[in-house]
Amino acid sequence: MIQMFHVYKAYPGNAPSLSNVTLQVEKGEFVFVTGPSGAGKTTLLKLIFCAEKATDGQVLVNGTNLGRIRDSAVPFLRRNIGVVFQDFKLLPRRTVAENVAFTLEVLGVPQGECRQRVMRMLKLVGLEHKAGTLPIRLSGGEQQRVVIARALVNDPTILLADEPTGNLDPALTVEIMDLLCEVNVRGTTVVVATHDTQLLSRYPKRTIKLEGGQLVSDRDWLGPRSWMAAG
Amino acid sequence: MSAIAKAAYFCRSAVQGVRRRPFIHLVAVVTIAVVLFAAGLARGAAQLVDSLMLAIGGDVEVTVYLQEGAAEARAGEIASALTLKTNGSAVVVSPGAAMERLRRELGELGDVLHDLPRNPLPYSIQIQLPAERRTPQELGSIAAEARRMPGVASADFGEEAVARLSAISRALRFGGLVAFAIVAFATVFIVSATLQLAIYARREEIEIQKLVGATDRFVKAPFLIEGALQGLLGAGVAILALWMFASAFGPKLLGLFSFLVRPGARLSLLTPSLAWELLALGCALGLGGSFAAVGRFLRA
Repeated sequence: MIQMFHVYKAYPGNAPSLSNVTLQVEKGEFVFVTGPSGAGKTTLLKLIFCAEKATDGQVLVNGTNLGRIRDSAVPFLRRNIGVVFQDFKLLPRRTVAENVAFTLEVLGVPQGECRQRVMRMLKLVGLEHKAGTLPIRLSGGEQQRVVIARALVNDPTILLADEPTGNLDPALTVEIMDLLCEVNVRGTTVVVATHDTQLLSRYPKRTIKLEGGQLVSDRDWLGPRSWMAAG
Repeated sequence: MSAIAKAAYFCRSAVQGVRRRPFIHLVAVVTIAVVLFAAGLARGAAQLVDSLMLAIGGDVEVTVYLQEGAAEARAGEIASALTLKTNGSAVVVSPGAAMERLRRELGELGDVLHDLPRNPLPYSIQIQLPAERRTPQELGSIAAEARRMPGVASADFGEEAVARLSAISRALRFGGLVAFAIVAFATVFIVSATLQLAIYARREEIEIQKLVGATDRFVKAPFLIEGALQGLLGAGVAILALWMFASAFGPKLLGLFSFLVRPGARLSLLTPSLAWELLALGCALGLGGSFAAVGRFLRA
């Protein structure tokens, strides 16, 4: 589903954000990408949804080589990838339902169908009673659930979440993580970037660790990944 | 994916954009309206001059003067030949009838004509062209042809007035075009700047749109519709202002040129074709401005 081969990413005048990263994420997997601030977690996610292009190496998503993708094809790639941002990126003047419907508007889904899908998704994240509320009147956890609903409403095959619990208290963190696990159980590949070590110990999932832009470990609950152990 | 749903979304989004930032759009609409009003006035004035020229072409007949001493029979032959050529009517005016008319036109002063030892006026022929041929060019060519006929001394059709009006019309058209090109460029710049403010206010929305898979065309469409709406509104205001101007000053203008036009003739400053032209121009200005603004934003 997601493949990276010897990927480098450098910004002019700075040390490489990613250096020689090789990894593979299978369909339906739940993967944590962890590491300290500045390790390259967000850059790695940005490469997957084409917000950035790799300086060197190959990134493949659903078999598409992102190094060779035309600019005009990027939007169509993104329609298969839901993204949850740490800073939510909700539109303050639109209601919860309108924020979730935003993704479907882009796809040209008729209004009737759009309403049905939005309500179904809000039910999944437990916010159907807040459909007409403005985001500013929601708690941090509720806002994050709206973002997740927006990311999932068009049934993407991949969900990327950048520090989805970074601004939340422990109770809300569990709430959001349980929701992401539920999404994963339904078949969506989930990649979560986090530096929260408590989260990693609470949810025993495959964990890719980055440090200074380099991949330093790739373990699941059974131990190191075979390709890492061999390499 | 439904094209109708997308089109409905674009229109909704454009109308919302106008409603959310009315002042920004008002600036653009007023700018477009002022430019189109000026352009419409110049175009209307040129059309007015054209109408005058046509009116002159219709009323001023070609008068052919025969050489002194030419016989009435020759006048009849020439009149017949010109009638055939022009498909119009040709009336032979005898020297006596011409003298009588001159006396009438001179009024009290006409009495002095009695003192003339003999009638100096020659036979003349007045040619009236059919309506479809009453243009300055046709008049000119008929007069030239008549002059070449044996026995004809001269032919006249108010050439100078027509030539002057032609020159005024050309100057109005050319000057209007140059002025419009300059002002249109400035307008596109102003419209583009106002829309850039609108785009900047919606940058978060655009960023999220792009992140969830919107194409550039999808992002552009509502802004282009906003620009077109601005242009159409501006054109509407300009047409209304022109109509009011024409209503207020049209009768005065008609009075000013009444000596040139036939009784009952109408000089219209705002014609339906001019209104359509202004709407199309307004739309083009709005679209041009929004295209430049949104293109610049997406490239950045």
